[in-house]
Order: sequence, then C-alpha cells, then structure tokens
Amino acid sequence: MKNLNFQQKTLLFGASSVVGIMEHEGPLGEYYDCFSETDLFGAKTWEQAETQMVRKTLEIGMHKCGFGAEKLDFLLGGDLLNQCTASSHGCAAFSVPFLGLYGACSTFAEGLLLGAQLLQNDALNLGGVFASSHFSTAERQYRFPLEYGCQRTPTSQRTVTGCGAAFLRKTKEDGSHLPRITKGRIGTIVDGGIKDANHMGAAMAPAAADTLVSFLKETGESPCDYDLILTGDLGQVGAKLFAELCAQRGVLLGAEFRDCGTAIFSEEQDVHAGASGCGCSAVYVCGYLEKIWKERGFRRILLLGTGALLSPLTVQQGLTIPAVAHLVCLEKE
Amino acid sequence: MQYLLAFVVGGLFCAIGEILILKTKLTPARILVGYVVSGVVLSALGLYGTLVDIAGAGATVPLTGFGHLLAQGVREAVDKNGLFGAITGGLEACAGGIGSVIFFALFTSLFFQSKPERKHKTPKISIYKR
Repeated sequence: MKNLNFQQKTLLFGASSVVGIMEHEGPLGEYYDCFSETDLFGAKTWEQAETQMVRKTLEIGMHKCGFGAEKLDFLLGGDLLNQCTASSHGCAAFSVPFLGLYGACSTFAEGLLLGAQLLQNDALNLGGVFASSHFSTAERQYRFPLEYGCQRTPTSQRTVTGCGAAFLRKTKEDGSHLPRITKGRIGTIVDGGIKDANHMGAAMAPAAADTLVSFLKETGESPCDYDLILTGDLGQVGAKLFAELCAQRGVLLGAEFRDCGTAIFSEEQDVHAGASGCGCSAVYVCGYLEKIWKERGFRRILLLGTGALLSPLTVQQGLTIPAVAHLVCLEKE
Repeated sequence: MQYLLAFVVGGLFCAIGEILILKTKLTPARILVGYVVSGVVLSALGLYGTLVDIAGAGATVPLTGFGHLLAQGVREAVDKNGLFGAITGGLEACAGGIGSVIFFALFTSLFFQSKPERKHKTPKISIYKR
C-alpha cells in the first residue's frame, strides 16, 4: 500500500500566480495576479528576473491571504535552475524556514504532497509551496542562450515563464468551502528509454501512467470518479501517449483528462507541442484552477505533476531521460 | 542571373537545414557542424569550388562555405609551409571572418538586449499589473 492518506485536514486556502508576457497573452491570461511585459520583472539578467518573479508571487500571495511571512512555519519551493537559486534567492528576503525541492516539472505536485505531509506534524500549522520557471533561464540552462537564435523542433515545448504559490494550513472544521489535500502518491521513477531532450512528453508519459494507474488500483476507483485529472506538462504528444498507456492497463481516460501544458498557450502563439516547466502546473493550479473551481462545481481533482529528470550534461553524454510523476488529490465539499 | 542562382542555391542549403530540423532528431549544433564538415569534404573533392563559381554568395554565405574556406586555407598553407600548414591554414583563412564575428557579437551585446521569441500582439501599457 503506497498511497498517502492525510489524516489531518490540510486546506489549500490561498494561492497566487505571476507570469511573463506570453502567458499573459495566452487563453488563461486574465486569471493570473500579475505579469511582466518584458519578462524581466525589473531585473538586469534573466536569472535575477526569475528571482524577482518568485519574490513577487510570494508577496502577492501572503497579501491576498492576509498574513505576514513570520506566520509561515515552512516554505517549500523549487525551480529548474542550477542549485535552484531562483527559489532560494526569491524567498531569502522573507527569512522563513525553507526547504528547496527539485522534481523538474513535477516540483509543484511534489511540494503539495510534502507540504501536506509536513502539516501532519503537530508542530507545524501553516506553510507555503511554490514552483517557478522562466523561458529565458531554461533556454540558457538546458539548450542555448537566447542570443544563439536556434530553431525549435516540432515536438519541443516552451518553458512557462511563471511562478505559482499555494498556502496550506491545517483545520479542525468540517465542511469548509476550500479545497483540501486528502490523498496523494509519491511517484516511482520510470525510465522509458527516451534520449531526445526535445521529446520530453514521451519521456514522462510512462511515469505518469504508472503513478495514476497504481493510485487508482489501490483506491479501487476509476477516472470518472474524479471531476478533473490534470497532468502537468505532457504536451500534445505526451498526453496522447499517456492516454494510450493508461488504456493498455485498463484505465480509460475521458473528458475529465486535461493537460496544463496544452492549456497555457493558444494555437496562434505557435509553441509547437505545448507548455512545460515547473511554472506550468503551478500557475495553472494557483491562477486558473483556484478561481474557476467554484464556478465549475468541481469536487474532486487529481493533479499529476510530471517531471523529466535530465540535465544538459546527461543529454550531451547520450543518456536516457528518466521521469517521475507525483499525484495529489484535492477535494472540496 | 547570378542573383537568382545565389538565391536558389543559398535557399536550398537553408531548406535542407529546415528539413533536418523538422524530420530528424539532429540538434541545431549537429546540423551546423555537419554543414561545416560537408563543406570541407566537398571542397577537398573539388566540387564546392565549382558551386561557388556558379552561385557566388549563395555558396559562400551558408556554413558549408565556411568549411570550403577552411579547406582552401589548409591547401594553400600546406603548399606554402608543408605539413605544418595543416594546422595553421584553416584558422588563417578564416581569421577575418572569426575576428569580425567576435567584434560584432560584443558590439551587439553591449548595445542590445536579447528578448524571448514570441508572436507579438498589441503591447500592453504597464509593466506591473495588479
């Protein structure tokens, strides 16, 4: 039995999201709290811009929820950069207990899982989880700096410039109108044998299928028991493969399946196979989902954050790309 | 007529590169290196020189032309200095090109800021929206 069941009710009681210009121009643009027209957020370099974006997201979130940083028992956060400096530098100013995470694009789901688990401890009551990514820093880190001006392949995805932060607390009250984190599953790392860094969707689909199928088999449920099954950033190619892999193992996905990666940008924005990055699922959940949850009458949502675990060096050395997918179950009465 | 040939031949080199990006798993770096090496080989076989005569800049501007320049430089240096020319010849021939590239890259980086690629829509007014 590997599913996590959180005994103490953990509420997701507030969220904030800050994005770049292209995300603001996308179909979900109106749902984010703030954006930067230049993607620079007033900074001099792209890396410093991402730091500012993280800081801004946390500031806005705490302001919206009405508490100061000193109330936070912990902050969990991660990004795609070397040594996750956007996260650490981004929250340094708040002087809070901080745990850095790395799960590539599954970081946000990883953070929600770990945050909920930390809150099961009596000593902790209020925490924050965030994940960030930036197109320009990711290009410099994983592929080539912007100045290189290289052409992108049809299966490549665009890293989202965005940071999403969610705030969690314990509650003893019943029947809250806010979503709770009730269950989860730590993903098993799966290597599908993909070596192409421009084909990450295909690398992550097997891990996502493994986590979802194992979770549902253990709970004895099926996809239609949930209002929404959300994957992080499989993109068009990966989402199709994911659905096929699940079907092969007896799990049939229907209209409840959606991928954040295909929702952040529109066709006209020409991002090839879709959006990706830690910020992808983070801004979708903290920006869009948080606001439309009530409108759509969702009650049970599964978030499957998917991460391709590669580095520029592993790609250059011709190694395969293993992946992991963490599952978080969010429910509302 | 020479303009037309330059356009067609140069364009064909670009089209081949685009097909390689779309249809194969080759990274841009590999394609570029492949072009340089192809230029060297075609030049060594005497074929590239003929292409330059026919298409002018359409053959010298694409990266295969750089390979051709390298090969020519090596050939001349070996004729002049013997086998040592195999090491010095390539860079000597390309010195002008490489030097100017470094200068222009530095100049551009001092005066211009790179931006992420995106299809532009109507610009918004403020930088921070609340």
